[in-house]
Amino acid sequence: MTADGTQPLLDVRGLGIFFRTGTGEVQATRDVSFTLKAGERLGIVGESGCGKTVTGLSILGLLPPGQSRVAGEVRFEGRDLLTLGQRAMRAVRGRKISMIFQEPMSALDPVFTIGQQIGETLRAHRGIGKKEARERAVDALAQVGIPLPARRVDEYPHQLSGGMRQRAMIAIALVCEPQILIADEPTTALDVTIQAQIIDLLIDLSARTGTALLFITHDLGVIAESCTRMLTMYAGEVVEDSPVDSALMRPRHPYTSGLLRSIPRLSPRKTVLPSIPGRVPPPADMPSGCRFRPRCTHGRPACEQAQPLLDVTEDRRARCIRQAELVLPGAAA
Amino acid sequence: MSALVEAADLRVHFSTSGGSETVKAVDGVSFAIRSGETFGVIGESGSGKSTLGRAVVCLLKPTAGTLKLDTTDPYALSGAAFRKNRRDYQIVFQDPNAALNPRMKIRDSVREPLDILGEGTRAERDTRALAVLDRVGLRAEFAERYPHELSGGQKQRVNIARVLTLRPKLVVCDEVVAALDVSIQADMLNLFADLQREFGLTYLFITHDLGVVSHISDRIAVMYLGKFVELATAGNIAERPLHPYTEALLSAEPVPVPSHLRRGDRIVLEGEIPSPISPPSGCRFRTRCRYAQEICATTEPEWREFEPDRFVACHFAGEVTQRRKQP
Repeated sequence: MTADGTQPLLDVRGLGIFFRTGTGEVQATRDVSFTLKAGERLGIVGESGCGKTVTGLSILGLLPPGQSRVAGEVRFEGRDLLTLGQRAMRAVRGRKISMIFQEPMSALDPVFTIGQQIGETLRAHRGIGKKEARERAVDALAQVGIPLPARRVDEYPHQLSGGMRQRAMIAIALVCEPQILIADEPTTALDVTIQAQIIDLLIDLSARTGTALLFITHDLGVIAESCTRMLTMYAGEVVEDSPVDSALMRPRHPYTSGLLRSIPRLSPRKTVLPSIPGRVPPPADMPSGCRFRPRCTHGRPACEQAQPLLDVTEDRRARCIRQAELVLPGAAA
Repeated sequence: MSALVEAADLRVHFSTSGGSETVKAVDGVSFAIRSGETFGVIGESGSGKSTLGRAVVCLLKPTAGTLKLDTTDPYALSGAAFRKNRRDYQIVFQDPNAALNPRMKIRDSVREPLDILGEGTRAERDTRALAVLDRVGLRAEFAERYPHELSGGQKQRVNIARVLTLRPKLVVCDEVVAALDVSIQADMLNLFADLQREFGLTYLFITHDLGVVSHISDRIAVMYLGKFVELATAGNIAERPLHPYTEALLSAEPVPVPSHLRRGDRIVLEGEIPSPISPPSGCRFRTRCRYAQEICATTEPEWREFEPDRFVACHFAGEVTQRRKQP
C-alpha cells in the first residue's frame, strides 16, 4: 500500500542484483524498494554505476541469464515478475510493461521498416493481421508526432533523424497501451531542443493514456521537468525517495544535495562549483554502514552502522540517520 | 586585450562521399578570441562547432576566409614554422579513451609531446610530465598505470596534462566534460578555471550544455547550421538573449528547480536542424523560428554589432525576444 492508501501498480521490494564475474559475485544493487502508481511519473536518478539501469532491466527480466541473479520481489498484478517463466514474461513485455532506451538506433532493427517493427509488437500481442497492423502503425506514428506518418511507416530506421527514431521507439513501446513505460535515458543522446520535444511528448502521452512512467536518467534537470517523484540512487542503494519538488527544495540526503549543487547553472557565476570529493566505491569494495560515508562531510561515528531507509514524512524516505537535523542546500539555495 | 585568434568569414566545407554535394559545416563566421578569456561556443549536433574548433587548431584547413593566430596566418608559414607555431594551439576531445593509446603507460602518453619536440633529456622530460600530472591532480603512482586502470575523469585529466606539457597559449576544449558524471564534471570545470589562472590560458570552450558554457565562459557564441547567430557576454546571453534561437535554447534547457521556481512559458522549437547541404534561404533559423516574417526567407540577416561587444544576426534583434528572469 502506498501512503495515500491506493494499491500500487508496481511494487518493487528488496531488489538485489548480483553479477557473476571472474573473481566471484558482485552485488550491483541492494535492497531497492519502491512503488509506482497508475499514471505516476517516477524518476530514478544517479551517476554511472549506481544501479539505475540494471534496476529497470531487472523489472522486465532483461538481465543476462546465467551471469546474473536477482533477489527480492517485483509485484505486478498480483504476481511476482521475478518468478515468471519466459512465456509468461513475454506476455508482459511490450504489452503491459514496455521499455525504451538511450540509443534508438541500436534498439531498432535496421533491416525492417518502422511499420513492420510496430506491427511486430501488435501481431505478437494482439493477434491482428498485417493490413490492420499497418493501419495501427500509421496511427501510432501520428500519436507520437511524426509528420507524414503514412509515408514514414514504410521507411527504414536509417532514414529517420535521432529525434524521429526515438519517437518511433516510443510508438512501438506504447502501441499496445501498456500500463508502465520504462524509459532509460531516453533523451540523453538528443539535442536540447529535441529533448524538450520528447519530454513534452512523454508527459502528454502519460497524461492521455494513464501509462505510468519510470524515467531513468542521470540528469536532475530532466527529472525536475518530467517527473512527480524521484528516487536518488547511490552505489546500488536508494538513498532518497521523495516528491520531486520537496527533494529539490530541501534534499534529505547529503548525496542528493551534493548532486544538485554540482550542476553548473545558467546564471553566470565563474565561481568554484561545489563538487563531491572522492569517488563512488567499486561494488567489490563497499564501505560498511552508510555507503556515502567516505565522501560525506556530515559523517558521525554512527554512520558506520548499516543505514535503513528512514521515513521523513509519510511520502518521503531517506537513508541518512541525520536526515531530520541536517538542513541541506537544495536547488533553490 | 589583444586578439589571440582572429577569424574573418571563415568557412570549412566538405564534399559528400559521392562528391556531388557540399556540406557547409562552417559557413562564414567572424570573431576574435582575446588573450586570457574563455570563449564559449554552444550549438546542437550538426551546428559546426567541432569543425570550427578543429579549424582553429589547424587540424582542418579552411575552405575560405582568413584565420590569424596571434596575428600570424598559419597557412602562410613554411612546414617547419607551421609545426612550431601549432604547438601553442592545442585541443582536448570529448572521449577520454579515444585520445589515449591503451598500450602506453600514462607517463609515456603525457611525455610523448615533449619527446616529439626533443627538448632536454629523457629524465628531464619525465620530470616535467610528472609535474604536470601532479598539477592536474594525479599522484605519481598514476604515471605507471595504463589507461584502462583509470576512471573517465582521471583519463580526461591525463589528456589535459598532455596538452599542458607544451605550455600552449590556447586550448580548444571540445565537449571535454560531456562524457563525465555531474560530480566529476564539477571538479573538472574547477580544474579548468584554476589552470587558466595559473598558466594564463585562453580557452575555446565548445559544448552543447548551456549550464556548463555559461559557468565557464566570459563570452559565448551561439552557433546554428554553420553560422554564429549571436555573440555576447555570458551574462547577456543568459539574461537578455537577442536571437530567437538563443532564447529557445535557454528555454529548452531542463533546470533542476522545483516547479514553483520554473519559468512558465517554455518555448519548444518545432522540427529539427535542417541539412547543412542545403540550408534554408535567407535566415537559416527561419524554418523553426516563431517570429519569422517574409523578409527572413528572402534576405540573410547581417552579422552586426548591435551594441558595443554584442553581435547578432537577426532582422528583429532586440524587438522580439524576452528578457529572462533567472530562477
